[in-house]
Amino acid sequence: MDGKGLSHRVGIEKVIYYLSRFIIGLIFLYASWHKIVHPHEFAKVIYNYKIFHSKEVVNGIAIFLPWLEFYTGVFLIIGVFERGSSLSAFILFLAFIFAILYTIYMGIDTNCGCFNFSESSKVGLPLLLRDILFLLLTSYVVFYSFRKKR
Amino acid sequence: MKRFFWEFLFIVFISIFTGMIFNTFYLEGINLKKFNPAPNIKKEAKGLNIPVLNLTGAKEKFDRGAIFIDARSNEEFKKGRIKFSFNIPSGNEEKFWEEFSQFCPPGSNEEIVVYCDGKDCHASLNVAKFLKDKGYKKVYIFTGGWNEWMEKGYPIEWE
Repeated sequence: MDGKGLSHRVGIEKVIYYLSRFIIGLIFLYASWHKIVHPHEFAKVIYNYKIFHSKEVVNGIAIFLPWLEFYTGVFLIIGVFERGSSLSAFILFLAFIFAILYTIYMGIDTNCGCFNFSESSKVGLPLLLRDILFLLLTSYVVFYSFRKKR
Repeated sequence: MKRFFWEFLFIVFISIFTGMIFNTFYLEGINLKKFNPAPNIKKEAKGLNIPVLNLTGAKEKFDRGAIFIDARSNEEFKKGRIKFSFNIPSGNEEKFWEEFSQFCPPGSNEEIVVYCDGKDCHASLNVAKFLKDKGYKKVYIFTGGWNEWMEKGYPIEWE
């Protein structure tokens, strides 16, 4: 590949990286809002996944998790702590996928609570596929931000 | 690699910090120790006008020949259920109801008792509401569910 071709490829990779970072950032920012405003509802949703049984743990997660999503989203969008925020997004998506798989395996009927608390957003295969897609996008961001700053 | 880790830890730390501060001053904040996120089935059932049964009440209905509906998943149903129960899993009501409706059509005067795992599960409420909407008149929820029934040693079956 000549110098021009290489710089063209690097340019495309850069655009994909910024676009992916921005999309994931927006997803987290949007997802965090209703959870921050309605912590009681969010605690009920977490409880319904039946992964945690202690109410203190469930309440603690309901207080902390929306803010982790919020800061992850903000930092990904503005490009501060790129590595940390991309790692955070990666871990969050992994955790979500685990929760969905657990729910499907146990046959638990619950709402996702991802972007709203409506009855229509049930946990199931479409949700799993969506989160896997998000995880793949995040993997690219983690990989690129690691390579970029090395 | 280290930088990844420290930046991530910093984000976790400020998230915990902001969450705690926000929760303290937010009017709708959660009381960490007092708030119970488990569904309050009795309260919700009352709102939907569905009577709730305890273990004694459920056993009386069972002895009188009431129909029992297991609202848990089909896998759980196969592993063990209250004797003579039908399965209408929450989230998959329409599909399983079709078979049930041939045995007990809507508008029937049969007493129907819906249960799931126990006090913290929401599935029985969803299915009871579904059956009420379909036109069944005498629908009850047994809140103790499978756990209480089994612990007491009442009749069960499995596949």
